[in-house]
Amino acid sequence: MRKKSSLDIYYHAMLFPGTVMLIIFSIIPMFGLIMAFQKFSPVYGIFGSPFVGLYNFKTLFFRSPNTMQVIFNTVYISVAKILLGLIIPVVFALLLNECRVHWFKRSMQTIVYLPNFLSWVIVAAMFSHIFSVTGIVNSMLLFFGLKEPIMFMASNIWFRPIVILTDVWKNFGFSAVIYIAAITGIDLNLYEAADIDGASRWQKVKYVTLPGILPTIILMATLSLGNVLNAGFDQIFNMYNPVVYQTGDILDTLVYRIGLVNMQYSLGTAVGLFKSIISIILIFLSYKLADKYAGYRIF
Amino acid sequence: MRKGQKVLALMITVTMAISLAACNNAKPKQAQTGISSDLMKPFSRYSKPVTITVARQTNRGGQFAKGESTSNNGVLNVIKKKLNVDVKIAWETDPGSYKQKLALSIASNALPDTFVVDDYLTFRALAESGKLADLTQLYKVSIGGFAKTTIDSYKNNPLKPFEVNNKLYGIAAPQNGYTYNFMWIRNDWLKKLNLPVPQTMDDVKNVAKAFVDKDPGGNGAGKTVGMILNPTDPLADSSNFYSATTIANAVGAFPNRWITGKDGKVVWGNVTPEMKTALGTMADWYKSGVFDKSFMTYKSVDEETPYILNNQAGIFFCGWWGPWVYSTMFKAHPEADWIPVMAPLDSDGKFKHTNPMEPTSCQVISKTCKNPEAVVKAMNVQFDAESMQFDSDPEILAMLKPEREQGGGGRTIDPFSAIANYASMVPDSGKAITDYIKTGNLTLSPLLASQKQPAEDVMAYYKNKGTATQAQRDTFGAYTLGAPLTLDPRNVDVPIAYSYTTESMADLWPSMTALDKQTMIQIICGQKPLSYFDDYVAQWKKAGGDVITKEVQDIVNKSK
Amino acid sequence: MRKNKISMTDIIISIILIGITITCLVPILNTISISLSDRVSAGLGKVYVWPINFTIAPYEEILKDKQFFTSFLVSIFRVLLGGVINVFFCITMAYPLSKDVKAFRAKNMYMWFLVFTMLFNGGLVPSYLLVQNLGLVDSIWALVLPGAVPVFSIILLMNYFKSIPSSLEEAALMDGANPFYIMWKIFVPLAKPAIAVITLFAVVGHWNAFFDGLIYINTPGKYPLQTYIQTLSVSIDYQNINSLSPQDLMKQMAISDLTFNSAKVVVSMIPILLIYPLLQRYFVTGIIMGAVKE
Repeated sequence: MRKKSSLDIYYHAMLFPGTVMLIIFSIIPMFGLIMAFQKFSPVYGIFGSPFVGLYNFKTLFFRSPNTMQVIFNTVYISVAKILLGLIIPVVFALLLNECRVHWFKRSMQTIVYLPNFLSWVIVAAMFSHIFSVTGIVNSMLLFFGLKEPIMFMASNIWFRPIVILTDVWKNFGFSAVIYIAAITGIDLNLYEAADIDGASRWQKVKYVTLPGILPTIILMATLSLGNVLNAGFDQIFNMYNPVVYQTGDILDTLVYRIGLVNMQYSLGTAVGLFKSIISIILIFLSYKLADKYAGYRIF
Repeated sequence: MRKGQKVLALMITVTMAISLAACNNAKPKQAQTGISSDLMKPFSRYSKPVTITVARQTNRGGQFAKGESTSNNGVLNVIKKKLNVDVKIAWETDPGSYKQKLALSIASNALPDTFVVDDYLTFRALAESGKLADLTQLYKVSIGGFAKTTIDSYKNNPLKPFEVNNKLYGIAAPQNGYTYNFMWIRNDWLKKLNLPVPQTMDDVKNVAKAFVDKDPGGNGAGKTVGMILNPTDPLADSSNFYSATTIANAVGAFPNRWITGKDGKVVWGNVTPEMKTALGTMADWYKSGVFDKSFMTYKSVDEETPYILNNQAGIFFCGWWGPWVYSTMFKAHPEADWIPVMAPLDSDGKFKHTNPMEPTSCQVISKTCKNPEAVVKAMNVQFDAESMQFDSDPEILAMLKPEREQGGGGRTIDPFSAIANYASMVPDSGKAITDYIKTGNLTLSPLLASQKQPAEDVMAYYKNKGTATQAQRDTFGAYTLGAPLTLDPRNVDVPIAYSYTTESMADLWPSMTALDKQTMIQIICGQKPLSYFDDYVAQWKKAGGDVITKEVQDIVNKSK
Repeated sequence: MRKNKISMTDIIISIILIGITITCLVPILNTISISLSDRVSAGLGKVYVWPINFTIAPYEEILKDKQFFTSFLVSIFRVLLGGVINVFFCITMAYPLSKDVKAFRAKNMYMWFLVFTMLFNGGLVPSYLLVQNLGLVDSIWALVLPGAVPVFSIILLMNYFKSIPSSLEEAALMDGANPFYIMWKIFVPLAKPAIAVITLFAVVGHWNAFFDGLIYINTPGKYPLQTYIQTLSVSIDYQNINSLSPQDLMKQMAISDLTFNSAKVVVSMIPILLIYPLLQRYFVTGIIMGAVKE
């Protein structure tokens, strides 16, 4: 048998092409991050635009009066999306795994991932109609005795729940694909062994399936931490209106509005940099915590 | 591992050096101009073919005649025939992505020969950094035909703002005047309810209320909307659909405009006391159900037009072209009788409005362009072709025919920025065409050559309403109902004090605009009380309003 | 091995699943119906699962010219080329990274490098300058190379590789096989379900991307389909409304954004609907892995 360390050279060789590609197409363009500290104008370019220090960050955090509320909204919406976006696909994948009729299972899988391919323009328009004053939801509520129709899309009570639930609705099927694949990867012998031990269905889920996909769940949870400041621009931009800014305005939509007239690359880059730094800190922390308390290495 | 890091560092340095070098190499060279004075003349033809490259934005939507495209069409063929100039497309995008692509083009120093800059500050930066060709001399000798007449027909020189250090760097298509909104109202509903045509503010409110409460359209309770309101910007530029600027104008407020106040000082229309009055009225109207309750939840006017078409709305604001909005409703609702009304009038019985802001976008020529005069000449040809000045030449007429029949209005295939009409095109053609119906004689000045077809359409509908097409009926409505109103003596055109951007606007204006729009909507639909307006004004001033107002005042003072 | 009796649990699960499926299906039908309805009914939100005043006008607009088919071919080519490139980099990077730190000491450094590139990016302008300086503008390579290494997919595949018993690898090493052989002949066949998933991600990503096409491609003839469809926007040109001819304005007003956008979505979904069932097969065949005895 070869010595393990002698394999390193093979591994480096395998990683070489991909690493080169990443250096060229990801690392080199990062010099553009200096735009966050400039007043960038395409006319003068990255090397000619004047430096303004932390001006762009100040614009974001101090000159815009609602920034704290906006950051709160962003985190609120994205954390809710992340949590539900983990739990529901897992539950769905488990339910699907318990379904034994093969044609049914497969056609269902095909159907539930479909919403993922609809653009937010369409989905937002659709839900706006469903939740409108004359829409199907209000019609039903009025039928069951509500006196005045609720203006869901212009309500600071209802806007966030609607945003979160429609996002989950749109993405759960497709996210479930990952868990379904993970479940198919579980060793069938384990189920056979459990059968021999006389385990019930629930016990098999609890002691075989769930532990089998737990690494995938933890992995997905960790990676999704990178999205804590991404509450979904496309969705909110297509759903919100000035009345619900108080609860629905997020970082990206705020920057969009501030940068409405000119293409403010600098402000956009500054926000992107801020988000990246927060994300990498969170991912690093969760990596360390998982290692320390669960003895589990994500990578 | 150190080695790896070194390699990485080296690679970055090398690549950055390459990109730097590339930037340096691409420094614009001043093109040699050894062009004979004959070739500088507006319509002179080259003996050898000359190529110019353009960047263009294309609003597709399938508006091409068969066999035509942006790179192969009648207008390009006419330019080739007249001048021996080949117009090549450097790149093209849809209108929504144009700015982005242009910014990248600029940043990478890969500018086409000619392109449109639709952002005034970018224009200034380009001109000041020497990336644009100086058009001062060129404009004097090379521009001609309809293009020149059009630009000259405007009272204020529309090219003034495109001069930097007394040199001209851009050619602008002036904005059409007479695009302000009228109130379009269902006359049949008024008659049904025995109501007079509304004139004052209160009249309008009462009529709209009556439409909602009494349901003259027979839609069932709660299904009728009194008045449609622009969802994204209810006080948008007056030429926008369903903008309630007309209501604000009636109380002396001029939102989204720099105007001269009573004290002679320049003021931003949104922060005047009159604006508070206007918003108070609108909030009251919203509360009492005059406006569509959920107007602010729509994404575009496109979601509101169906109310008009479906017989569910009785009032909307729109320019003289209103008939094209409700065009398709007559099959289902032949009884619909829309009329444009000059209402609400102000307390003096006048119908005040402002014209659109002066253009802030223009066609420029890159300094690296070898034949800048060819660009100007090609523009001359395009303008003349589209305004039907060449129609006496059957060969050219044949080239342009497919596109005319397709009805693209030229904008899909024209290589240069939108063709403008000369200043008083709307009232003049309105008058000429209404006279045509009365007298049977059509007299169109050469500048109105393009209005011949509409005139014939109007006549066709007038002569036989039964067999006329939908398009002929719409044209009839626009030219005989809408356009003549622009000649009404009650019109008062309030001059705009300033149309362009200032130094500080680049940083401050975007967030102030966002504040403007959001406050207006929040006050109208009662989310914020009217008293919040004072907070808003204070906030606006602090956010940069004071600084910018001063800058505007200084510029205005200087130009006096 | 499997009980064939249908229990109460089965019934409950089936009912829940059917319910979920219906909530997913209705909006799709809704979209298709809107795309086939006239703009008035669509705009008023009257259309639910059946078209009202049936019309195929938006589809006629989309399918009208040759460009549609040219772009369709460009997109197919892009998906094939980009898909192969993505999967190649996924496999060659995921395999060594699936080794633990003891077996491959530099692993963690590479991992953090990947995470770093996933989270930070320089933005549009420098990326464009780079692509331009590499001479890729206006070629298909500008669309497939910048995103050639999909980090998220690599991490997924890496995790799947980890679940493959190391006894297999040890046995092969004992027989003198080199890691390239082991990766290709043992790990790849066993990871079919995961490779199917990342292939799906790659295909869907390449198929749906439109923005890079707008930015990097100058010649409309080279636009991929989604970019082309994007340029078909039907927005009314308010600024120049005076110069619109009546016919033109009417044509623009007749197709609303809503019905048109719906038609765009339907058209762009079709190829994905065709490819998904093919890949789905592999999720099932992946079970062969269970046959390998420890």
